[in-house]
Amino acid sequence: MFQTLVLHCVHQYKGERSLSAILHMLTGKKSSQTFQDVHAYGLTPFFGIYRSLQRKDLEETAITLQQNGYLKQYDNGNPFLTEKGQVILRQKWNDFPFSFLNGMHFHYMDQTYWSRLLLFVQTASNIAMGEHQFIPVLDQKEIITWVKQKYQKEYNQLPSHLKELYDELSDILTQIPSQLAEMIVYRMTGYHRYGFSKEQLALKYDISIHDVTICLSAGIHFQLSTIVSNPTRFPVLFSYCKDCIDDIPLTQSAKKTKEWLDKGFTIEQICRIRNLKESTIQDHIVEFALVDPTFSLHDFVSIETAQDISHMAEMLNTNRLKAIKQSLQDKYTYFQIRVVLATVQKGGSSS
Amino acid sequence: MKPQTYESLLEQHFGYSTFREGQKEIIHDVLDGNDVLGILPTGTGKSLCYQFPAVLMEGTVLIISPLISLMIDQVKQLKQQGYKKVTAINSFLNVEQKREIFRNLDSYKLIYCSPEMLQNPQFLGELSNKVNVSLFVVDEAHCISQWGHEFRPDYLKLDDTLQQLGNPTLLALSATAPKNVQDDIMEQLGRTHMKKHIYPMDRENIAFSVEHVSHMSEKIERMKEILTSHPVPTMVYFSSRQWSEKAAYELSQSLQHLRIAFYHGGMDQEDRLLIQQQFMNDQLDVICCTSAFGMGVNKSNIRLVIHAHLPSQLESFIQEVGRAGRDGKQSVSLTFYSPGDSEIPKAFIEGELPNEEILHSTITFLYQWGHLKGNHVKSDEEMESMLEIGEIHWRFLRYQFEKHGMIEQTNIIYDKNRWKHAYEEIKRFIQERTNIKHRKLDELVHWLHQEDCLRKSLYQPFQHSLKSPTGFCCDRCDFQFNRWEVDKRQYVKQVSSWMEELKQICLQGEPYEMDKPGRTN
Repeated sequence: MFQTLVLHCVHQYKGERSLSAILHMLTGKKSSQTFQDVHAYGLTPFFGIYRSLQRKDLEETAITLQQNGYLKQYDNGNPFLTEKGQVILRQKWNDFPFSFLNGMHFHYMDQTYWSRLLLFVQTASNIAMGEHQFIPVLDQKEIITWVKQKYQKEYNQLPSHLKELYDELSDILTQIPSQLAEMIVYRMTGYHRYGFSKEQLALKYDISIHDVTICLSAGIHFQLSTIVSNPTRFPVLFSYCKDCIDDIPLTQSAKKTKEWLDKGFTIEQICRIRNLKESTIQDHIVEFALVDPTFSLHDFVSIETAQDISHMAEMLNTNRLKAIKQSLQDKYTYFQIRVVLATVQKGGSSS
Repeated sequence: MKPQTYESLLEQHFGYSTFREGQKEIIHDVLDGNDVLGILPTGTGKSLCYQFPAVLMEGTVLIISPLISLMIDQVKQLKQQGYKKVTAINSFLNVEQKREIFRNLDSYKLIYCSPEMLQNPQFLGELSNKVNVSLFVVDEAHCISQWGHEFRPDYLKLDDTLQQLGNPTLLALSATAPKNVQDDIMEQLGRTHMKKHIYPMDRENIAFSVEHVSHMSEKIERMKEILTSHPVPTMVYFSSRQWSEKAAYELSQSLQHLRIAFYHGGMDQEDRLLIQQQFMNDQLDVICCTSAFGMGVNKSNIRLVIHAHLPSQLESFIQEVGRAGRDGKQSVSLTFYSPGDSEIPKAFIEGELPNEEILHSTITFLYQWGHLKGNHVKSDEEMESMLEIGEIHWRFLRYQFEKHGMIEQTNIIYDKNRWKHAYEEIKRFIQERTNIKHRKLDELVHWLHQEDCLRKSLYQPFQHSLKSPTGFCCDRCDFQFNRWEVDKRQYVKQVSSWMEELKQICLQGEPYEMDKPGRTN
């Protein structure tokens, strides 16, 4: 599964990006380059779905794929798929629950939601059985604090809360393949029953530990998308994630920039006020272009410029900024090109 | 405070009705303001010796602990018992968390930290300004002697810290420290008149057995036999992560009636915790592990500890074996030995300290890059990557260079004769430390080949007399696996759907039945 995902990423990047780009994408690196790439190359579902991925593990996987003849490298080190690699990718792609993944939407909240759920279920299950001493399966402070507050609200109705959790979770999990549902449930901890480690799940289903991580992400993302799209049907589970939902997932710094922009300040003014480099503010603007549906491209580039750039990108069938810039005789800046591409990639119109 | 009221305090604060051997005596002396060296065997509740005084004493108890995982375990356990005024200061904390802890430093009753952290001027400053340290505890004090001389030199600076903190009462604790180590501990801490409380470490309910086989596959076959006839809670020690995984896989393939998993330091924090808790909670029967598992494992019904690979010294062996039979019931230590097995710890010993080649190239580098090109010593990480040597090697060498005046702070101070002399001295010192370790390994290997009573010869270097065993003694005297009777009631693997599992977790459906095999052996 992980191998197939890596093949897919290599395929999407068209040999225009290195293995590092895949690492940054899967680990959800917060850089505007990664952010923009993810949109440009159609990899939004996978952004940040494997945050603990180590470079050496990705490299090992790439070597295996190379030995199998599925991928090769250009002279600059960028990987690309061979004929054989493309065939195997097409064959295998539908074997896995990739369609449940939605990294761009959920990467910033999936762990929070899931950790809260795990720890609260452990707590409620134990305390409802009269067991007040247990070792919490997680020790992140924010999660523990949240669970404590939740517990304060729910402590005199734990059995009914658990009942509702059970109803909602089983409702959701019956909609996905039973093996995936099983992995999700085995991972959970209750009274006198600690959940499975990733290694144990890998052994049980005879898959790699990377596959386990991706499966869990897929299972969690499916829960989130089901809950968020129908909060009235899943009110209890919704209470585990509603405060995390952010309509436009922006970095903190970008949010500040947006506030100033909305007040009508120019890029130069914001640079001075915030004491930041112009390129940083430009990064923020590209971020808005990517995710903010109300973003107005023409505040930053003229209609003609936007059309020029998007036509060229379409013609060259590339997202490589340098190639586009050169083909347009350096008429436009990198910022202009990036912001146009970002708008196009979001699905907006450049005209 | 009269001693007879200690019991009621114990009940009230810790939920035990009686003290275990040695605890009360040590606590008594500590509360009287005496410096104490306590040697208590593993599993007899060393930590109570300072946790109990913390309840009664004014001020704060500061505990120096060698391993982060150990500190975190202790803090977790205390918090689980409802004791909140406790913290561990370690390198996993981020700046913000550290700042918050420092700000409230005087609100803690127990503070755990590493010897390295104690050399942090900011921390030490906060500590001496804000906190009244009334008891200074060195846990696992044998580390002073074992590691202090090599790569954790901050262990040798504790005596200065004691003075800076106004000479609080000192308590040094260890599970295994023969006489020479005890002396070294007291000398390094600068308190040669500590009251000694040394308790025998022999465990009368553990029988010893050593089996000589030809190679690893035979060990695994033999384990399958034994675990079939004796399906008891078992730990199996391996020297490598790979082997712990491989053996867990092979054993679980053929022992369908047992729940088997592996545990090692390469797993992530969350998964390690799950496996450890499954084992404690009797959800696992057999755990194949490296020495990373065990510190802080507090499971009372471990019946069998198998060493598939050797540790490098008797002290570690005794500690690991000591995890068996904490409930006092008959338990067994089985050690496998096949020809060539001692090569693994030997190689480990050889690699632990830098060899002559590394020493030479490091000094040459310091001379050329440092002295000739006028560079300063950089951060440890940078030095390690420039020199392409490991963390422990660099730490050892840096300490040696400092000791010989070749490095002061970040300055490299060149003096031809001094450097020449230092080179010889460091070389000699490495040889000496390595020889000591080889001798320790030899002791262990020698023990494996004993023809006489294994129990007697194992504990001989540590104590004069032995308790008589409550059950079997050893395979040289009276033990054989087929004579050891255990309860064979076994866990039956139930196959249930995820829906059933989820029901159980959420306490839905039929009255919940505990998923425990209910062993009574």
